[in-house]
Amino acid sequence: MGISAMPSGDGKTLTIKISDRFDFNLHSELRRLYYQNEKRYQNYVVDLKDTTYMDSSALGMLLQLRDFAGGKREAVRIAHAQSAIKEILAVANFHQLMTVD
Amino acid sequence: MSAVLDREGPAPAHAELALIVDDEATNRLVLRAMLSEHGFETVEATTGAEAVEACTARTPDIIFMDVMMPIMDGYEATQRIKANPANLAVPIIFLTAVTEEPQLKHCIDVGGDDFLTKPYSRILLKAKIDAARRSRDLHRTLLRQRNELSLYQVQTQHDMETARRLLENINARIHLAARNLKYLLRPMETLNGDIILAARKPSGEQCFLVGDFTGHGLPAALGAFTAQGVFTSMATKGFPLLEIAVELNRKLNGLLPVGRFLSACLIELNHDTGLLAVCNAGMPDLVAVAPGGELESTFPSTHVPFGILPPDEFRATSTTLLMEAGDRIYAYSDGLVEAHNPEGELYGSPRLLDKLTGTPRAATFDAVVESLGLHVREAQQSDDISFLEVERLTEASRVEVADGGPQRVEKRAARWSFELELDVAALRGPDPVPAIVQTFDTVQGLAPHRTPLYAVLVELYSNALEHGILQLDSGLKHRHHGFAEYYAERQRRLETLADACVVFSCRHEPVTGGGRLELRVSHTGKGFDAAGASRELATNDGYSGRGIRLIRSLCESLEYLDGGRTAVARYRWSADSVA
Repeated sequence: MGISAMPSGDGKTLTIKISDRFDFNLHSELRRLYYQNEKRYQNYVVDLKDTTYMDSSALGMLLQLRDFAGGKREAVRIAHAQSAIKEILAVANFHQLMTVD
Repeated sequence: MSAVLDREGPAPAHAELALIVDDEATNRLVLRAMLSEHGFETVEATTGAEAVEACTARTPDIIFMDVMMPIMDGYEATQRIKANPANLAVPIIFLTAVTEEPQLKHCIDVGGDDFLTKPYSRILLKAKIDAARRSRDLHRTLLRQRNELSLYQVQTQHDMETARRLLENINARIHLAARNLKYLLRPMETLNGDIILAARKPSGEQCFLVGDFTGHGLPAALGAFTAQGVFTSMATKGFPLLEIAVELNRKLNGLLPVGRFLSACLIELNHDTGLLAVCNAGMPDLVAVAPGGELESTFPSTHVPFGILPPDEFRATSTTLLMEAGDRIYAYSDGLVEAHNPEGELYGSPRLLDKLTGTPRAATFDAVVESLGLHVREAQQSDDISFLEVERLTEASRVEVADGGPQRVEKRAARWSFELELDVAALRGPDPVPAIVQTFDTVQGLAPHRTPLYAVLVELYSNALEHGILQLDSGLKHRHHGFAEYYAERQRRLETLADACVVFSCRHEPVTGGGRLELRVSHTGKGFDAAGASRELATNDGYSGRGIRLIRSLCESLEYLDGGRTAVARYRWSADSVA
């Protein structure tokens, strides 16, 4: 349940793992993870392997993360999303905005 | 906490009032002396009954209550005094000779705030007074904050209600009165994050926007006003769907903070030709269904929702379909397919598709709404729901034009003219007709004549560009799916065009009772046999001939000069009637 973050060995990438529900309740927690973090990473990976639900405010949060990371398509990568989550990302055409594995 | 009290505790306007209740005169005297040292004014009562009476005259700030008294004892007096809500915050301190715990507990049970065992010292009395003052001030502060809060709540509710009514006006102005439309808008909160807009282009097409803002409530409502402004003003002026999409994205991108956006489906339907154009940005698949219930086509989302991409990265495209009379399209927000029942099961796309295709044409919409109700039952709604059905009508039964604009030309007819010359680059750019018609409105107030003027200019311009310059074969349009081919070919030829020019020359003059507008459109392409074309027109019932017939029916005159390369149409208006 919830949200956790793990920097990569080379310190360039922060992997944020979200389990269960990805909705507005995670807003401040997610923001705290990257925004108030002293270190800025080159890349952010959002691991949605254990995410079972995502709403439009979650899409908004991903956009905020993308904006924070410099707005480039390569800066944010969505990994391991399940098919239902992938469909939500596809409807919003998020593959145009970030890397969706 | 004390800092809060210092700042917010009410300063007494006059000396604090203490009520001394004791049947012994000596006790009252001692206490009165001590209290006046602390700045209290005092009143005295010798029985419980007198004490209750004294409280009705002026509410004391503190009460000192003896227990044993004739007529009414301290317990009962305390209960009666505290029964009055006005006295709830008044601390009552029992003065008691007893030290047994059950009696002391009883003092508190009946509503007393504290007790003081006789004989008592000055220091102890002072401490009790201070404690009582603190708790009284705290009580008052809480009470005041509660009142402020409920006032704020009332004010907020009022504001939300106002915003809701404004939003309803937006959604009600959608021309959804047209008889080929059915819709459902079911907000989850007071303010709806979903919007359905409709407008009519001067050339007759119906345009729709079915949208869903991220989040609900006030921010979504603010975005809705912007979307409505862009959509309605551009559509009613005749701007093409894709230009509306580009502008909508530009406006919302400038307005909305990162993370907020509008998922929306823009739809344009031409009832004359049956041509449907869809630009779906982040909404669930739009569904087209044939009269017999067969699934004809779906239009998945092809764009990032509006407001996310900066204007220079946003590319609008549309998907088209040729609809037959009786075909219907269905647009909806994800709130519909994600509506869940008390067990958490979603309504779901398969169930929706099943209803859309499996029910008779006239009953489809109601069947969906009914099955939705049966599915969710008493479950709490968790998202806004919107659902729209649009049916293509036959030409004969076209929707009525409901133009809410002015019906008379108010400006006095004047003499003016202007010329607009478009080179190849300009011809590849946005359609110039809406801007020209807008100019007529600005200069001469010709808004009541917008529809016919628009129709005439569109025909003159497309004849010049598509036939004169691009040499397109309008026979292509006759074939099934020919429209899509025709426009693809138009686009291809436009891109490879080397050199060409179209000139609009618009000249207006006053005439008796109104004005006359001469619209002259010249081009550098190939001319045509105007006389032959006219003869052909008499028998031609196809798509291509309709244009020239339409111009003749709306204008005083139409003539071709320069071997067919210049068309001159004269449009006459009178001050008190609409053409």
